[in-house]
Amino acid sequence: MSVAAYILFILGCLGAADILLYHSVSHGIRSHRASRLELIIHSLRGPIYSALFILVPNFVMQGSFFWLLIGIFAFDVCISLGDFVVERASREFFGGLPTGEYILHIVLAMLFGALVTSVFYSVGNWAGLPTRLAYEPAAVPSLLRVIMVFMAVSVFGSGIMDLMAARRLTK
Amino acid sequence: MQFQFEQMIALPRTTVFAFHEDPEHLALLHHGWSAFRMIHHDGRLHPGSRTWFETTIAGILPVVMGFEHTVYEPPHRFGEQLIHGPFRKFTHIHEFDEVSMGTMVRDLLEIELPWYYGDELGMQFFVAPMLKRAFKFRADTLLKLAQSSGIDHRGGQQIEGLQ
Repeated sequence: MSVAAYILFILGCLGAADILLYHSVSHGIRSHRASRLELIIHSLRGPIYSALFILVPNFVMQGSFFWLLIGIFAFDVCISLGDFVVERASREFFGGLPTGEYILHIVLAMLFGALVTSVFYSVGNWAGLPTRLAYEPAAVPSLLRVIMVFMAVSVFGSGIMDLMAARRLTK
Repeated sequence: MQFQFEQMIALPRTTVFAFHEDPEHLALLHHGWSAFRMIHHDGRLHPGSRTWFETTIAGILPVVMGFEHTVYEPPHRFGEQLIHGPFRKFTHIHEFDEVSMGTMVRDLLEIELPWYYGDELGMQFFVAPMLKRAFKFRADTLLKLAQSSGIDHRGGQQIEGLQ
């Protein structure tokens, strides 16, 4: 899972850049009423990526746990599709998404595809083995795994902030 | 952090004020500077009216800012404060002093970044240099508009004609 861990790390860095630069600095969607739905959709990514940052570089997921991982990936695809559906209306007042954000979303989508592919290539027969979740870190530097724990906490916090902002804007 | 920019324009105060109070002229002041895009405005300004525009940082990061006009005392001054954008505080007062050679245009700004965008350090090393460049560009453009119009006391109409 080392390749998957590296891809997930890059995905996390670019995702953080998307949140910080475009969602926050550029359009400030946490204070834009028309972005309520987009914020709710983004908030779902908090627990999803939090789980991925912890599980992918640290754990072996066999049997049902492997299918849980696949379920997380499938749910993230649904979140992305929902995001595309609501973004047009959410950013209409600003004149649509900034060009850089469009490009970043494409790169993120490609990296997500690479992440799923690398997981499938590296897990072997996890799906057919007895259900088991075991702490067996991937062959990546410990520092990277520590950073990814920090990323897990950060993305979870960001999701909560999105949800709180959506609630505040609904009042 | 507070900023003050001054510029002498050899035109009557009422003319200079009339030019500045029209939000459409904000785009004219930034014409040729790729970092500016008007998004929305409520027309002639009055307390409570809003102006939204986008400026681009470092040529790559567009930043949308919304302002609500709070002060309107023609032809002396008007002002606005930030209602949407990445600053903790952003107020801008435009003053117009009548002097013997024309009008002294003065921009008084008070800007603060939140801690998570660098607070004072972010202001000092990032926002302040950018703001100075922006106001230099505005000043040069205003001067060109005033000089090229060749106007006297009916200058306001002629400046508007430059659109």
